[in-house]
Amino acid sequence: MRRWILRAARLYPRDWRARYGEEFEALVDEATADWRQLLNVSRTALTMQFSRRVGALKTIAALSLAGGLLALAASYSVPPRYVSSATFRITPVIEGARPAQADFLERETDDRFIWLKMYLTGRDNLLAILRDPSLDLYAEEQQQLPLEDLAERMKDDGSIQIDRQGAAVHISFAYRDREKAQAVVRMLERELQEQNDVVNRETAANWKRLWSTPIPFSERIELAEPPDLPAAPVESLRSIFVAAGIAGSLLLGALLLFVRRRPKLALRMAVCGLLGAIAGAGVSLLISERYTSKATMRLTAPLNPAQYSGLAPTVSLAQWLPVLQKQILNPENLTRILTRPGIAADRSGFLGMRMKDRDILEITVTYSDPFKARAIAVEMIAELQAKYGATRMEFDKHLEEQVRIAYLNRAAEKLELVLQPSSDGVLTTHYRLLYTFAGATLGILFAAVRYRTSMNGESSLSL
Amino acid sequence: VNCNFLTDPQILILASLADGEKHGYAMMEDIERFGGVRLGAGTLYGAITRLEEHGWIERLESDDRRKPYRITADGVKYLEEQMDSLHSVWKTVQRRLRHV
Repeated sequence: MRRWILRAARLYPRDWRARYGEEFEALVDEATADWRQLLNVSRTALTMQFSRRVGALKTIAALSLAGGLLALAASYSVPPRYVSSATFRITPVIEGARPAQADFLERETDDRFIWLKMYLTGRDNLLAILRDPSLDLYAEEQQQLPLEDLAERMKDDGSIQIDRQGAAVHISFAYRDREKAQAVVRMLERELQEQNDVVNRETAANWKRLWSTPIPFSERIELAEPPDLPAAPVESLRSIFVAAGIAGSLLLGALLLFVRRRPKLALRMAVCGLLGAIAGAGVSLLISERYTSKATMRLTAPLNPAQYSGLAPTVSLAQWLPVLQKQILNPENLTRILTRPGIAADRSGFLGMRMKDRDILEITVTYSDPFKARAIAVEMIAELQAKYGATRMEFDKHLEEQVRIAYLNRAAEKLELVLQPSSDGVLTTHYRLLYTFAGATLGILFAAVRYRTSMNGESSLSL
Repeated sequence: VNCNFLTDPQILILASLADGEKHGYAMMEDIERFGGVRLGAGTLYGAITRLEEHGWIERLESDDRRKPYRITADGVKYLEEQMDSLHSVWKTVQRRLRHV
């Protein structure tokens, strides 16, 4: 019976057993061991477990509630954001009775949308919006930040959104003043229509110059839903605040309970974590600085009657990418690029090409010198354009010479540079943080495993 | 006054320790002797845990597996308060019983 009572005593919380286990065992050895004693020990052990768990849950619930309420209060200090949006329809218009390839038209529409989106969210257009005195946007921020930085922020924080789903194009702008939000979307609407007309005119002139015939198609943009005046601010920000507040409080509550229940282990873990973080940060200092340079290119839609009618095949970036990767990223070619005068780089960097969208290509170069990273990116772009041009001509060698020459203009898909290679973006900070975090995690794990091992050794001696 | 004053394990333990320091089994025996109540091991140690948390008793260092406990000054004060309350109730009951 005594053995059963000692087994039942294992139901007490671990920290209780650590403090009272030995003397409790001595008492059980001396006291009468019968089924009443067994029931008494089982009942009190379970009650203690339950009351402690309920206490812990109450603490966590109270902390979460407090955190949620605090976050909700804090969310009121953030100005509300109103989102005004408008919807357009972008559709190809066929002039005359000439048959058109569906694929060709679809690609032309894609191309037009990409171009218009890039224009509307481009630096020049955003600066024009910011400079417009009738809008007077971000007046306070303009006192503290250069306009260029504000324009970048507008793009990065999702204030301005331009998306497409099939023929529908959605444009929205989020701002703290609902009337200004609507005014910006109206401005974007005007720009969208105007730029589409400009591109239609330029494309028609190009076609006429290349093929001496009127262009058989154009892109039409119609307003489906005009810019609305938002009645209420978006609530998503508030719910994100509250969710973050609750999550943060939950973590804090769990941490506090852990520290209270296992102060020794918590201290050991904190010390080992700190030492691990210091070691990780130390190791990260051995890594040289890394910079990344990114550039974006796109494959333009062709202006070619043969492709328009389906007599000549159209090509996509997906088809070209493996060919270009093989030609550019092969060891021999890379050595040639890296050893060029003015670059003279070693092979410690990273070079990548990936398809970001249907016809959008992103080039990434990471290197220890920001200028060299950019120079390598510039060189890669030049190589890409040259190799693409040559291969494209080869691809169409069955066509007439006159047509092939015309391809060098807008007659064929052309690999255009959309965004110049950047020379910012230090990657080292991320690496340092990663190493520090990894060091801290390993330190904490080490402390936990050692504690567990020592506890297993002790538990065989007492309850 | 605790409604189960005479059988409240915490009061019984304090009363036992008021006589001098004792370990768990000695408390169990003493309480049975003066209170006529046999506390279970779980009940005894549940009460010891709460009394220690309140700071009314303290554990003394010992090489033995059995650890002796001693009542603290706060524990004495608390026990006296409880006794005073009980005494007041006792006097009231006595007075009223005379009029029955």
